[in-house]
Amino acid sequence: MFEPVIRTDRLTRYFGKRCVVSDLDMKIVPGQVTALMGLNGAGKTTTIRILMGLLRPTRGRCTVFGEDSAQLTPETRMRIGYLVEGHFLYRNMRVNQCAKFQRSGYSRWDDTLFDDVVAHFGIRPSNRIGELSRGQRAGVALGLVLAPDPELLVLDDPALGLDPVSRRALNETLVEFAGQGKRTVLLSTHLLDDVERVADRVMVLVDGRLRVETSTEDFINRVSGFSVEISPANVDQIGSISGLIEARKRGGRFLLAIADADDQTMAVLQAISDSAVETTELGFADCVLSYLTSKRGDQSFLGTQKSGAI
Amino acid sequence: MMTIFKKELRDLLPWIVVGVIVISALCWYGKEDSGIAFLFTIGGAVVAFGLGLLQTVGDLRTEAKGYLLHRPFNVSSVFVAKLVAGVVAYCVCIIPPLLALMIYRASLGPDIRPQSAWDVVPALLMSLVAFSFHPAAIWTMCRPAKWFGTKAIPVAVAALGGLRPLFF
Repeated sequence: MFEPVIRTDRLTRYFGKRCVVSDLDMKIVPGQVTALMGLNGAGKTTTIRILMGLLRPTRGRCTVFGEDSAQLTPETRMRIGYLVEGHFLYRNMRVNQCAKFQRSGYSRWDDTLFDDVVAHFGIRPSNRIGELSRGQRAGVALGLVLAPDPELLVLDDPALGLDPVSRRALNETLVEFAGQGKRTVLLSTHLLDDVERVADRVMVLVDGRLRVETSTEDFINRVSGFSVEISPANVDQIGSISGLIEARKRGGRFLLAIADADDQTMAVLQAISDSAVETTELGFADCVLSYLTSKRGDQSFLGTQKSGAI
Repeated sequence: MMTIFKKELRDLLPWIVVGVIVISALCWYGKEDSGIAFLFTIGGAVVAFGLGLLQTVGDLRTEAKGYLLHRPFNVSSVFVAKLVAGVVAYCVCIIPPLLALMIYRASLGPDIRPQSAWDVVPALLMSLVAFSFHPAAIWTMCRPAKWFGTKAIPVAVAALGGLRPLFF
């Protein structure tokens, strides 16, 4: 059994009275691409900032490579590549100055890899950062993170501002990076298609709580979709369905997303349904969206729903 | 650490010019005054505090902080690099105008006016003491305290240490 690269233990963070991350227990195992998903404000970036030692948790603990994240040594930081949200770089620097600035302190630095990544985005080393497009800045930031050949790559919304071609290149790079099983990627993103393509494991944060932590395949297998016709008298009973993630009304029927549906679930559905229960095919994106829209009031007609955590 | 030092110094270059102008203006104002130590303590404190703020404000944003601090250095090394860059920038702001003032005084005194180049030394020493406002500014900006009163404790300490000789 592999020792987790990242482990959190009841990690909690408040900003004022608002709880942004709540009792987060997670383990990131080596050699896999793990996608961290959630709505804006779900706590993804806050979690990553705590993992990188940039923010102290209100309570709880987290370790990276076995070290308390609040006190990461320079040696441990050297093993982690961290791409900050928004691809921040100093605007007054040139690309080659950025590389010089970044490589300082690292024992390993792959100039060829950096040059290749930068060239892929059509950037010259003499270009000033302030003159680059957002996508090109993302390319430079990615090159800077990959060049030291880190064991752990933490990417906070890396595809933000990238065109489709660059996004595909990014995905291929990530798969290649983690492909040998020695390196680990933690990826925070909103792009469900990308996650389905590259992620081995998926985590869904809703309101700072971890609602899903499983492999991508298992996630899809365990969430089922049903289409049922329910009379107004029975609508209240929807909330009592075990494992219900989301219920939406479309036309005259309810579309339900349910976790770990079994014979008992089917019996309940048949009992409250006025007609035959139809099974609907749910893709990966549908499964994730069912968790996310169940949180968003404007998409879900039920104020409170019984939820099924995986 | 050297790369951070160079980057900080490069960022401060335009502001060094402003600092030189401020201190030169003080020199001009006090060119015939014998008691200029007070003037340079206040002026030095303002310049030092300003440099400290300029070196910190940009790095307080979440993404900038992440980019700067996630590298194989201790946080203290980053602080020291900023501090040393601040020292160099401050000295460039202070020393040339004061040196010019010394030369000016030496050229006139004591024959034409009752003054000497050495009159500037107390002002120079006091402006060096006033540099304490630079780390105080960085420290204040980086402190996680929410209330202004507790956040500004480093500035209060610098004020007590740096300005006390003027009053006691």
